[in-house]
Amino acid sequence: MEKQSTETPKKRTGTSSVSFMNRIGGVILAPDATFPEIITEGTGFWEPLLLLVLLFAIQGAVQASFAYRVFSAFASALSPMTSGFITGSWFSIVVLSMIVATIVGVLIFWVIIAGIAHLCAKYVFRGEGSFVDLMKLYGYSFLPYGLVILGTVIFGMSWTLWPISVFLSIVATFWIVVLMAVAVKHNYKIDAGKAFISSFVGPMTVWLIVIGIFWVWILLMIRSLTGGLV
Amino acid sequence: MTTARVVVGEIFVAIFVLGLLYAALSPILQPITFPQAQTSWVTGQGEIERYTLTKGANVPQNVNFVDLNITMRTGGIFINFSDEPNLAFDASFTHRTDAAQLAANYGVSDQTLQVNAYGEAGGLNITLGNSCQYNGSFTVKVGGVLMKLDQYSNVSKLAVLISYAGGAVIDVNSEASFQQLDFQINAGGLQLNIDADRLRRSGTINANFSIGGLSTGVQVDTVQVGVSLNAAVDIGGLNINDGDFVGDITTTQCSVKTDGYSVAAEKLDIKANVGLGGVTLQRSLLSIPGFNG
Repeated sequence: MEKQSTETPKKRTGTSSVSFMNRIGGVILAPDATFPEIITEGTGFWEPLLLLVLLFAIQGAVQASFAYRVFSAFASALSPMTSGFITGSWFSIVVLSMIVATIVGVLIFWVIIAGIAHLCAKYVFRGEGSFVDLMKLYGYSFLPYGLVILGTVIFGMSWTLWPISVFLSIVATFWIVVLMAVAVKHNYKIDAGKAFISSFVGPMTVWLIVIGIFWVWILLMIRSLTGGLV
Repeated sequence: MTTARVVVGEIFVAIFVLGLLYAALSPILQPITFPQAQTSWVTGQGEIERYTLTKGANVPQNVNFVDLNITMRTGGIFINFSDEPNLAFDASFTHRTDAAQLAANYGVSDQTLQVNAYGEAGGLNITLGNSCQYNGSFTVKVGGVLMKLDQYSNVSKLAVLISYAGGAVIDVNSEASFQQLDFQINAGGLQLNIDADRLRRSGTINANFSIGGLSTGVQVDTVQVGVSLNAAVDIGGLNINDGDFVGDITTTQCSVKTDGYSVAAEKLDIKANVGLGGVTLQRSLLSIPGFNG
């Protein structure tokens, strides 16, 4: 009788920084192999959380610094009219708010899209997997967002390089969608098609429904305000 | 494969670091600039127009020197100084409704503001600030120039030219600061009222007259301010009537100084050349009614 071997990923050794780099590189280069490793190794929840916060904090900081430069230039240009009353330092609170709002926004987004994918994969497609593990994998799935940071830096260095920035943003978006589908596939052990529906089509459908409800509400508001004329 | 994964991981971490560094340094290393909006420096219509140049408003904050080139065809120029640190130049021009407006412009080069103005007929009341050093010339074809130099004044060199006929009245008060004042008057007089316990720097007043004369009233603390008068009259006379002054006096020339001139803290040297006319020196002169001292 042939002995059936179950292939379990080997636990990697080395310093924590090397294993961290290894995970990041693995998610980028070989997500099909790396995501099961992350689940099996029991990587902590804090690492993807911090990674996600770091990614969007850096992007928020880059955007805020760009906004600060523009605002300072406006403040300087308008100083003859404002007698120098408004300065770039006034914008510090806006800069801080932008970074905090970006981080809070993405954390909420993270929970919602993971929640929709979890509901879809587990209850529609009968997959097996935990919501917390999916959250972890989704945290790593945002790694290509580094390309958006790079694109923003390039755009900030020279406005004429905006096509590169747009290209990197598009690549990052598609890459994140693919990584999320791979994450759902491995976390719930369902096929790629169902995983894609759970990770992308499901959240998009919910999004479209929310937007549709919003516009219907707006339409009803306008109708009530205009006495049914519109 | 592991090495490749680590390398890619390091590349992504490097992107994070790059983003952080760029966010921190770009406002310093790569500031954005827009053309500065300009506020109009002219207000008022009809009989009075006002021209104001203020640091941080319509001229840069780093302006430290002002060159004035002011010409009036007929009328008067009144100059005084204020304690406003941001004021570079303020002028109100009063004229008849049917008379031409002041033709004025200005420009800034490095730290120097250049103001040019030409008026046909009217009164030009100029107020200057206390944080700039002023140079330039005031030309009046027919009319007068009144100037008050006080503790807010900071003049390097100013020239007053009365092309045809007219006069000038100059008040020098305590803590005034000027280096050189030049007067060229064709037909008319210069009244010099020096009433100062202290001057912030030594200065020189040069006056040349074709027809007319210099009338000087001096009321100073001679320990702090040493005053000298060197005058020559071609046709006419001199009248030196101030006990504080000693020196050589003839009917057409004088070279007199206050007691202790050589050891005085600051010195004021007056040099006058008169063609047809006279020079008088006395302790004090009456103030000019209507001149806002």
